[in-house]
Amino acid sequence: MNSNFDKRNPFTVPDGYFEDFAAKMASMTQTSMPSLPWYKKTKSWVAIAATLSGVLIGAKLLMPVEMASKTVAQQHSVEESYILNQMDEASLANYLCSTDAEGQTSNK
Amino acid sequence: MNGFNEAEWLAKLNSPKHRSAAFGRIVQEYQQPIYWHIRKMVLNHDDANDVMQTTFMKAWSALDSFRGESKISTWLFRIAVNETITFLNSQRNKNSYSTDDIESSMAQNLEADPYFSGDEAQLKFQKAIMKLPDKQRLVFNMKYFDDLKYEEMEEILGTSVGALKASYHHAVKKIEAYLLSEI
Repeated sequence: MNSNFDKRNPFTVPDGYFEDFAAKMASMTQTSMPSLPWYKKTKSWVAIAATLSGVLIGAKLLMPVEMASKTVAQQHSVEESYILNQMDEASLANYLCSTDAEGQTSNK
Repeated sequence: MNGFNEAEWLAKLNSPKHRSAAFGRIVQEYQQPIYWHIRKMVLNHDDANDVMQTTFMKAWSALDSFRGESKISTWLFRIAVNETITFLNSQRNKNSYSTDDIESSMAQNLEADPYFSGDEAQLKFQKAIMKLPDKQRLVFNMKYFDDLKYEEMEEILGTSVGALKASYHHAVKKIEAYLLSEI
């Protein structure tokens, strides 16, 4: 680049401009405070404790329901296979025929 | 930027009690580089003042989105660049002038500007820079006047180092060609 074009700044500002600008910004930011999010307002250990409590309470509320439904389903499956194992094929056929006949009678 | 501990002021920004004072300190620290960067793009002092005010007010209201992943100066420069480009585009849309009209109007304003103290050679140099597209002008000013590293520019502008080097190289060639044609 041509050496005549040095990096001197050809622009100027009014006297005291930067001091005035900083003061103006200070007054503007004091009248319009951006709201801090809750996690920045509270101390970090309080936020961590609150989050952990939430996780523990949530786990306690959800776990029994899920475990109970799993237990009932498992119990039904065990009972069903036990009963089927106890019956011979003839008894099972008789039982199914009688259920079928009862169904037809009631339909009439 | 002596005595400015960025980490210390960043921590104070997160404290409701010290937030306003910390931001004031940051304004004091960065207002001059931000101003000169904007001024070299918009040229006029009043416009530069407006754009800088918008820049700092936007930074103030978006403090919660600043997570300290980049330097405060990088974040402020990024806002300033966006605001400057928005301002230049709005000026063009408002006046619906052609690019040439805008360039000649900016050149005339610069000649009459009481806050331009450059000599004839510097005025010619500014006119040459004005001929560049906005993004190329940004790259040229940041490298030539602000002496920023390409890596810093990459972070501010979101453009790769390779593309920035190419853009700067083209800008220099265009300026040289303009200045030669004016002799």
